[in-house]
Amino acid sequence: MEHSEKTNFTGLLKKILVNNAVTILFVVICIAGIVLADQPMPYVVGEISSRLFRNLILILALLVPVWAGMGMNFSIVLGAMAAQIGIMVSMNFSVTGVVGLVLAFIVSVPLSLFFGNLTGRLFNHTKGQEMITGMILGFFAKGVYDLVFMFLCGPVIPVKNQTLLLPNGIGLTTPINLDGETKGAMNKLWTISLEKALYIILILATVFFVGQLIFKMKKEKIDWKKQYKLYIAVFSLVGYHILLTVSETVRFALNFTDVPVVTGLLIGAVGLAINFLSRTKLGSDIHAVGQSQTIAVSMGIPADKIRIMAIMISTLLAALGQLVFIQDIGNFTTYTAHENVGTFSIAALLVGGASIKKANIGHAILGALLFHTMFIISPLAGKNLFDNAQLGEYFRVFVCYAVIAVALALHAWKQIMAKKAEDN
Amino acid sequence: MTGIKNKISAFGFPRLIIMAFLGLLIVLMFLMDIPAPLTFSQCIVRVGINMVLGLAMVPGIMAGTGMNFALPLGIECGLLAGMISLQFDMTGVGGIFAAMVISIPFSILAGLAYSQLINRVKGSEMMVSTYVGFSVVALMCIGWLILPFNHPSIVWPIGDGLRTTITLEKWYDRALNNLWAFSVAGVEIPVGLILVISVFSFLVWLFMRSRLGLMMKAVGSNPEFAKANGIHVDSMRTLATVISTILGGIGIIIYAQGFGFYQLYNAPLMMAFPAIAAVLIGGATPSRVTVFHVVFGTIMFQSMLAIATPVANSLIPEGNLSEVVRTIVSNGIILYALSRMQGGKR
Repeated sequence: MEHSEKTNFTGLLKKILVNNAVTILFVVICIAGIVLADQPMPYVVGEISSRLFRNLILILALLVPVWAGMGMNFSIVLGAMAAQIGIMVSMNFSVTGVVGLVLAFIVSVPLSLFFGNLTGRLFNHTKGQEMITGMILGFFAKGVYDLVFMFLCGPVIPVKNQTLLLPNGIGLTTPINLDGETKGAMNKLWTISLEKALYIILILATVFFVGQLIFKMKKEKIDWKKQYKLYIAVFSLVGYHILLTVSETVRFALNFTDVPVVTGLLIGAVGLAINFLSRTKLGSDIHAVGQSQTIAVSMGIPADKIRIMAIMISTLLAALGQLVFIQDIGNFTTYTAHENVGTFSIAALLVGGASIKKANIGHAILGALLFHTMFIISPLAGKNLFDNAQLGEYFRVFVCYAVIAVALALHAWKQIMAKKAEDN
Repeated sequence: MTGIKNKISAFGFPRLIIMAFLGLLIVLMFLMDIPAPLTFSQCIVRVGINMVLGLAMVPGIMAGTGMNFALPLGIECGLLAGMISLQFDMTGVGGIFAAMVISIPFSILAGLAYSQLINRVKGSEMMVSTYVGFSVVALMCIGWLILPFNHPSIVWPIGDGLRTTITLEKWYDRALNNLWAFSVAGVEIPVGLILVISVFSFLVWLFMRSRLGLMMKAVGSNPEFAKANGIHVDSMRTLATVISTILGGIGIIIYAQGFGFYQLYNAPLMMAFPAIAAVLIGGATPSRVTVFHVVFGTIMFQSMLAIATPVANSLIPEGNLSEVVRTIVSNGIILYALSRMQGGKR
C-alpha cells in the first residue's frame, strides 16, 4: 500500500490480478460454465439465489475466527451437528412449523456454545495448527455423533417419535424428513420476487449512503471524490433499471425467482451483528489477538479467552446457518449432512477473495455467489461438453479442494517470503 | 508412585487405553464364541497389508515435513500402476511386483512435483498436504473416467471409465498372502506377505541408519544446525517426500492384493488417516518416529479393528459399529498427538 504512489497503472493492475487470482479465475470459470451449460436464465438465477440464501450464514460463520488469527474454522461442522440435534429434538416432540424451527434453534444454542467452548480450548493447545486440528476434530466429532445417534438412540436415549427410529428401534433413520409444515417454514413466511428485492436493496443502499453523507455534511466538508460507495450504489441502481427495461429475459428471470424475505432479513441481521461486533471492545480485542497474541497479552487482553469466544461465536452461527440450510432443503441425511459444511463454506469464502488472515462480509457474499454458480453449472457444462455429467461433478469437487489447497499454500508461501524479507 | 506416573506418561495414556481396549476385545471374542483362528488370520492379513502405508509416514516425520497427509498422492500413483498391470494382464506374484515397479517412476515424478510445493510452505505442511491429497484424489476421479484403459474386465460394460471396484481374481487376488502360506492351529500364516513387509521395514530401518538417513534426521530435528553443517535442507525434504510417495504407491498395491480389490475414485480420500493413526498409536510423534513405532502401531491398530468387526457385529448386527470405533480412535489419537505438539519441540 505504501508504494501505491510509485507504481504505475500496469503495476497496479498486476497487483490486483495477482492478489485476486483465485476470484478472477472463478469468474472466468463461471462465465464459461454458464455459456457451456446453456441453461434457461430463470433456472440459473433461481438456483443461484436459493443457494445463496441457503448457504450465506454458514459462510459468515467463518469470519470471526479469521479475525482472531485462527484461520478457517473447519470445526463449524460441530455447529452443524448442534443444529441437526436441535431439529431431531423438535421432531421428537412433534413441534412443527416456525415454532419447531425456533425450538430447534433454542436447543442448538447451548449445544453449539458448549461445542465451541471445547473446540476453543483444544485450539489453545494446538496454536498454529488450528485448521488441521479443526478438520480432524470434525472427523472425530462425526464418530461420536454416529455412536450416539446410530447406537445409543433407542436403547439408551429414549426417543418418543417412533418415525425417527429405524424399524428395529436402534438408531435414527436416514434421511430425516422434516414435516411438510416445517419444510421451508421460514422461507415461506414472506416471499417477494428477486426483481423487487434487488430494487429495494439498491434503493436502501443509496438512501443509506446519502443519509450518511447528509449526517456528515453538518460536521465536516465532504470530499466528493472519495464517495465511491455512494457512486457505486447510484450507478448500480441506474444500471439495474436500464438493464430491466432493455432486456426482457433478465426481467423475466428475476421476476420468476422468489426470494425469502425473512431468511434474507436474518442473513442481514447476522451480517450487521458481525459488523457491529467488529466495532465493539470484544471485536477490537479479537483483531488484536489476530495480529499478535504476545502483544495482545502484553496489552492485558486475555488472548486464550478471546480465542475461545471467537470459536464459540463461529460455532453458534454455524448452527443457525445449518438450521436455515436444512429448513430450506426439507430433509437431511442423518449421518452425513454435516460432513461437507466446513469444506464447502471455506472454499466459497476463499473464492470470494478472502485469505487465511483477512475475510469480510463482501468476500462471503461474492464467494457464495461464484462458488455456487460453479456448483450448479459444472455438471451441466460437463454434460454438454463431454457428454458426461459425472465428469463435471468430479470437476467441481476437485475445484473445491484445489481452491483450499492453493489458498493455504499461497498464504504459507507469502508468510515465509515476508519473513525472509524481514530477515534480510 | 511418581516413577510409575512418569513411565505411564512416557508410554502415553492413549496407548494404554487402546491396549486395554484391545485386551477387552480379545476377551469378548472368546466370551462370544467368535472363531478365534479365523479372526487372528484376518488380523495378520490386515496388519500386513497396512504396514507399508504406515512406513510411508517415516521419511516425512524424519525430515520434519510432519505426518504425510498427502499419502493419497502416492496411493493414486500405485493405483495407476495397478491399473496398467491389469490392463496388460500381468498375473500372479510377478504381476504384483511388476505393478510396484511401474508405480515407482510415477511416484518419483509426483513426489518431486509435490515437494516443490511442500518446500515453499514450511510450517503449514500438514494442512496443505491434506488438501493436496484431496485435490489429487478428485483430479484422478476425472482421470479414471477418461484414461484410455479398455480391458473389458476393468472398465464399465456400459458408459465411460474404469469401474469403482475391481476384483483381482483374474490377476493376483491374495497372491502374496497365499505364497508359501501354511496354517498353525487354524491360523493362516501368509508367509509371502510377511516376507515382503519385513523386507520393506528392514529397508526403511536401514535407510534411517544410513548417512542419508542421518542427514535427513538432522534436517528434521534442527534445520538451522543441519544447514550450518552443509546439508541442503530442501533436497533432504524433497528426498523424504519422494520416498514417502513411493512407499505409498507400493503400499496400496500390497493393500489391494491382500484385500482382493482395487478401489478407485473416492476410496483413497481418507486413506492417510488410518496410516497416521497407526503410527501415532505405535508411539511416534509428529516429529519423531522409528520403524518399531510403525510395526507396533500397525499391529495394535489393525488388530483392534480386525477383532472389533466380528465382536461389534455379534453385539449389534445392524449398523457398522466397528467403523464408528475406527473413526473415533483414529481421529482421537491424531487430535491427541496434535495437542501434544506444542509442548514438545516441533
